[in-house]
Amino acid sequence: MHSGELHPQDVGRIPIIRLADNLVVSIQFSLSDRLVAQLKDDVTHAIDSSGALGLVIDVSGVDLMDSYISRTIRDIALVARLMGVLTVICGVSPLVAITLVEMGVDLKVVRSALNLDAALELLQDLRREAATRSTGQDTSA
Amino acid sequence: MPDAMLNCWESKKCGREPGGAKISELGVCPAASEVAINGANRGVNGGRACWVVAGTFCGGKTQGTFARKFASCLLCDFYRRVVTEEGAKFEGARELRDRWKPAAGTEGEHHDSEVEEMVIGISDAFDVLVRVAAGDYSAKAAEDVPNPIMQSLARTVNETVGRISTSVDALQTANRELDQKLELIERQRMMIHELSTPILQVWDNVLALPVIGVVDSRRSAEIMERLLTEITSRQSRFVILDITGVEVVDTRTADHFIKMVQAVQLLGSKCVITGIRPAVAQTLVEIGVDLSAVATLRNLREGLRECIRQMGATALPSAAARG
Repeated sequence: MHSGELHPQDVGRIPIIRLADNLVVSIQFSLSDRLVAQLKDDVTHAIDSSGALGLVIDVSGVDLMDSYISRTIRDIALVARLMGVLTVICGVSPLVAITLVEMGVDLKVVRSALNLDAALELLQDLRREAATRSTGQDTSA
Repeated sequence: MPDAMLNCWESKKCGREPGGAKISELGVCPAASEVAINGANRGVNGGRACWVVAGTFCGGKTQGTFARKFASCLLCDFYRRVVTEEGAKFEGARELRDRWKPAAGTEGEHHDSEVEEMVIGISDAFDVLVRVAAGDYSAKAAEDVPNPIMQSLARTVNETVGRISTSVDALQTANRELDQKLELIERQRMMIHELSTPILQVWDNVLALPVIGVVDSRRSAEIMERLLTEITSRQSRFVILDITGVEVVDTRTADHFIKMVQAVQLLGSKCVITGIRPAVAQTLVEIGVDLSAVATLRNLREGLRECIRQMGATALPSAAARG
């Protein structure tokens, strides 16, 4: 089911991969501001065109994350949520985690998972829970 | 040590040794040609016993006999250097006396054995003092001398040196002990440092971190780094931060714990804090620390039970609810 979306051959862009109902973005190099901004654009369009239900951002290759990049990732998650897509970030390295916590970056809108496997599992759980919650609300209403 | 056996002309650079730069105008110095004391203090001729040689050329002028010139020799760097270098094997005026005495007489000065004896005695005492100054306390001035004044001088010098030596020994012993104690403290500090933050895998996917003692910012940073690295390498989904061993929690300590929990959650693991003592709980409420963002349970057992329960259900409902 692996299929590239949106110019995977383009070196200047981060590939966005469709995996089952989810979109997977795997960042395996240090990020530049331009790349993240481009990613925000690409992800938004990919969500729109693919009809995916979840978004996984794998940052296991990122060993440095500044406030702009973390803010952009948060923005991506917020945009995705507005479009009905849940975002899970995975592969955060200890150093990045410490930096983000020390900087007081608020990433509450983004859920975290240890690895890609756990992220996909978590997305499934979140969706199932959202489904039961909405049906529960329906019955109570 | 190539320059250990420097002769006086090599040190003073007077140029009056055989083949020296200034022998044509000043002639060869008696110190360099005095064969009678050749080999004294491992030198060539009088090269390392120049202070007993009469008529040497030193400091820009010709010096007198031993008794006359010794005053300036006592302050001479080269003399002190030879005394220090030779140590117990040093041949002073007394040891060399029989060998240089005839030469001293050739100056034609009035020879007074009494004066000479006293000067030798004083020179003896000086040799001892120079060695003491260099840290060698084994030096002794000869006490079996005919002159009673010199006898008293030698005895007093020896006594004083003995006393200084004893107190220096005591000081050095105390210093050594102090060093050993400091080393012990450093070792223990390292031991405490290593022992204080063990990370235990108490169940599949569950790490426990019992924190004991005071958590300052330095220690919390260390704990956090080790914990996060451990989580990443073991891919553990749950972390129990047990603070039963923490007796005192202030706002800063609480802040450290909150940051730790946040960082763990950023990695994608769940973190619960267990074992908050009654007194600590009261303090936290009184000082208004908000721990509502952190899951807290009574003790490690409850924490582990909760982790296993959440793992049993494949879903992570409570985790999802908090998002």
